[in-house]
Amino acid sequence: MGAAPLRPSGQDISNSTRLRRRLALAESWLDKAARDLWTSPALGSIFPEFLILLYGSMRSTVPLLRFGAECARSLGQDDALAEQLAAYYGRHAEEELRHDEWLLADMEAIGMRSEEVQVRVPPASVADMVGAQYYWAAHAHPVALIGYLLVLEGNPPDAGQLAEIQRRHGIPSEGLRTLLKHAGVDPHHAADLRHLIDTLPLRKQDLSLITMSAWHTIEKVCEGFSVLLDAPGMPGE
Amino acid sequence: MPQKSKVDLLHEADVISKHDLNDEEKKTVEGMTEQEVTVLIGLRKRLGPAKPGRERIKPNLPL
Repeated sequence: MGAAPLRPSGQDISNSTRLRRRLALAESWLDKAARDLWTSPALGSIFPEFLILLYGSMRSTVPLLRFGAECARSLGQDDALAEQLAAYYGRHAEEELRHDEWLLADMEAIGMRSEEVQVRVPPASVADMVGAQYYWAAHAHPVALIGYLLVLEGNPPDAGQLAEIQRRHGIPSEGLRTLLKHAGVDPHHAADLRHLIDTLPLRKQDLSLITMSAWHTIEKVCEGFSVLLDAPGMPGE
Repeated sequence: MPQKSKVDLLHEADVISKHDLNDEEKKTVEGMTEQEVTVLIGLRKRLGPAKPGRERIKPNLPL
């Protein structure tokens, strides 16, 4: 592991820009999946299942970040990234506390029963998406979680688009409260993350792991949306 | 036979259109590892073609 860190200097681009360009190579798939879901004529009927998918992901955020912090701490002072990552993941876990509870409250408000939601088997796409992060954090490097965060916080909901979705599909506003809150806070979280990326002494293998983690996250979000749209009873193309 | 560039490999796999990339973007692709190129080609196979839309609709799975 003797590779030199890639530090932004002189005419070199920043690591956040380098990663943004790599993620852009896969973002058209994410865009297409989101467009297919949010413009589906069946969105009104799919929406409760979307919330269940989102809950599957959201309930895992704080434990995953805490695990990432723990893995980073376990690397000790010999690892150049460990201290900053542990601090960031620990702080971010606090910022994400209770978001899953907000979402359960939204689901209750539109007539879903939270006890039924909580006993549902979480979607396999979410298990794949989050499970890969645990593997990479434990067996490769906890810096992997940055790729996951870049995708999920780097595309925050847009308040205007949510209003249009609500109007067009007759979704009760209470069902969108958590998404709307994220439209407000996620741009700040994304900016914090970019700052972290540009201050970490990332090596080539770190950038590669972050990239792989981000692309995997994109694939699993696409898969999750596709499963919603392909569910029995959904109108075909 | 000269080895194909990473840009050419991704273009042939229909992951990117090399004609749409600027020099910086080409540099980004050439800086990727072979494993990353393989992963992107695998994504294209599994997820199919995806052309950018006119508008990005962004809610996905926020944390």
